[in-house]
Amino acid sequence: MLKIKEITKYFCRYKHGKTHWSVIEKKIFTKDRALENFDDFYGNVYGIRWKSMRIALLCKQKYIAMVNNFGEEEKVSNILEEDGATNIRILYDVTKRSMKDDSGRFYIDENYANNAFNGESKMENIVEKKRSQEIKQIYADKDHASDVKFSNDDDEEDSDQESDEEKEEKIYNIEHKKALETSFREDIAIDHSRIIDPEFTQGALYEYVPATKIKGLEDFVPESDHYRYYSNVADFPLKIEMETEFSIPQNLQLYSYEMGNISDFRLPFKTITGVSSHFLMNGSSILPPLVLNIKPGDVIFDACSAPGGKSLLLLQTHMPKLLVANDLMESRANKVRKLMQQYIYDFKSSWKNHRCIIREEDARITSEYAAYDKVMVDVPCTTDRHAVNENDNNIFKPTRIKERLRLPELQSTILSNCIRLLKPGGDLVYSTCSLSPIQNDGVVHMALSNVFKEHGITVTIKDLSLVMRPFQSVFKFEHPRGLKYGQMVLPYLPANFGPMYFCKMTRN
Amino acid sequence: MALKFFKWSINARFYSNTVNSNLVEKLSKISAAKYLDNIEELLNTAPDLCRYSPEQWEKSLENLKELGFNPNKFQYMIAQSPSLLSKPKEKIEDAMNNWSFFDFGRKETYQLIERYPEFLDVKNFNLIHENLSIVKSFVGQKHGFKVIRNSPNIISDSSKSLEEKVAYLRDIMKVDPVEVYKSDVFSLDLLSLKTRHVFLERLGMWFKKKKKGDENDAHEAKKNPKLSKISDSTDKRFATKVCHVTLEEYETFVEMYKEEIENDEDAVERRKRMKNSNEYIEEFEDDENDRSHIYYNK
Repeated sequence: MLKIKEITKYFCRYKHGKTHWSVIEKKIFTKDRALENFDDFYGNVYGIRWKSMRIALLCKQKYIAMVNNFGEEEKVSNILEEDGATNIRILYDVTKRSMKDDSGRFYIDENYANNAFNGESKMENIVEKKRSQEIKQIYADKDHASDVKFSNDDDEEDSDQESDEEKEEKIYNIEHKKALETSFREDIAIDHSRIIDPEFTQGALYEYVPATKIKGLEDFVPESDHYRYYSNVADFPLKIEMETEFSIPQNLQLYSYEMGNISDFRLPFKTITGVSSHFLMNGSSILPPLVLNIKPGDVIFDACSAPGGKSLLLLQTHMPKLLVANDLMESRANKVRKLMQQYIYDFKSSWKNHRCIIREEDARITSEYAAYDKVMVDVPCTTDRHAVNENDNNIFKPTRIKERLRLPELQSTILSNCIRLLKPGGDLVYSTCSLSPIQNDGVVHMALSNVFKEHGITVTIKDLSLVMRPFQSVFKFEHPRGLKYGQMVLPYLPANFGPMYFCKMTRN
Repeated sequence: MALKFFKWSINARFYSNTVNSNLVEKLSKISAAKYLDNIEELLNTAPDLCRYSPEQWEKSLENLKELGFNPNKFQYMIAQSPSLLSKPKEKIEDAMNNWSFFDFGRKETYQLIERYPEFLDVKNFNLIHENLSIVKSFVGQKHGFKVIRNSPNIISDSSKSLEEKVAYLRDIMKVDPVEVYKSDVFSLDLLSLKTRHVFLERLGMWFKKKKKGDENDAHEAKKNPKLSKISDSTDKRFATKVCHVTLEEYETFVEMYKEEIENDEDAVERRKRMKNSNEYIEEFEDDENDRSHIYYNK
């Protein structure tokens, strides 16, 4: 006798395993999705230069080695020099000296003085394009497409995330119907002239009531809205000053290989004091803490500090009186703790809670207003390099679409709150590791506008183009093209650092 | 035999000392001179030709004419392969017979030999047969001649390397066979081909076909640069004209990709060794533990 189990066993359709090549080839990974998104967006913003950035993002990144001052500093510096690395501080000083004119001032190029911005029209085009694409996608009927407007005025902001399937279903349902406004006009007119048979109960009337609202639309965030975060209308007083003060602290030893050299640094080893010899970090990460221009006795706040490289750099200078390294998640704050213990001698007994506080708090609600001299805001962003290389913890995952589209909102809230934490005259550096103009200049603009409207705080933006010029032999900068407020290190194969956007501002 | 060698050595010594004056004069008087443009320049570019007497030149031309070669190509052929001047007619005939077995057609075979007279010295015909069958399996039976004309190195390449190249072109790049025989792609080594292909892929300029017969795919794949542009251009031309980036970037990538491949191979070998011996597992684990202490920033 044949058992049912056996029959199903024989007639079950054969399917390939998850590791079969044909399955892998068909699968769309999150990083592919990220790359596709970037190709579309950055391709429009940067034009042909995006190709060169794309390949750099997909290749091995370059590191900079920071010598640990709590270990055998001289010995490690010598070893790194013997390996062929260059001291960035010395290189910067030498280049700067050669760029000064006879009177000891920086030579100012016309291109640098004229901070012309040409990205506005590009952004407008992108928003228009995205919007029309979305409308086309939802309403197949082209005649009605122009009538449709998204109403996002509802204040309800439920945090329930919709799955993609649900969304698709909705889109599918709407597709064959008329646009809302047209149905209003036509269907209501028909209703008036219609005679309803008294036999029917009132319940039947429901069928003739036209829909006034699509369920779930209040949660619907159209992608074009994400691009609208980039606004150009300046509705707040803005002052831009040229920054001329910049120097790398004497006790900071940073090493890098010259442009075009892709050699790896040797791995860190344990020194006599028990701490690691040097810290390897993406080269561009050194710039935001350096432009902060810290002075001895400063109280510093690092809003989103994990994994802790920038905070460590600040502590290595020995200048801060107190550094508060903050991060939202405990696991990430633990990462910072672990790093500090690994690199700072006697961290637990003499540093922790004395000169360095590591805590877990939401940077949007921190309320120590006007308490800090310097604030560093390295906000969560799309982390372009990570997004195109790793599938794990990738913000382009379909379930995180809402989080991604609302990222600029989160960034600007963090930034505007952090501006309030500054003492008058204090400096703030905002940084992201994304190429997106929305998350960079767009967020800065939005935060400045919010802070002025709500709290009446004004800031002065510092133009860093001049002080960054001596770095041109190490990094590839975006300036003077396409940037309004900050500076950006572009990924470029011979100097594969970045992307890193940073903008410095001083509270008035 | 000994006498022949003696005569040859005297001739060689005699003519090799007097490169220009005597030999040029004598060569200009022979009947073959009408097929030679500038004898002095020819001797300078191929000094080995000075070893042969004018009589040998004369006889060689006669032989080639009798065998059906185009006399206008005589100068080019001897410049490419000076030993042709001392080759007896029978040997050339034998070699031509051997080449005719490849079924390129008479005209094509002559064209091929006129272009690469060194082919007359080839002995390992089995290897050529094997290699040609590999190539033909991809480009089609008719086009073996075009491949060998564009990439003559396939007559000496190992079959394994050629198989790898064909597999890469067919399975990974998924190029049209028409493009293959129109380009010199087989004269490129596999690493360079891979490097150029991956470079294009990462630049976002290479679209990979996913499904057979998908119109969208086919349309996108048409935008890919031609294989001949990829394989037949110099590094600088490839970087600037095909990829629109700087040469510096391409050179850095070549270095980087080489390292990447080496690291991949290392990792595979390590894993193999790990499976084979338990000792190695311990060693490897120790190494991993050390690495876990390192923190790289974003």
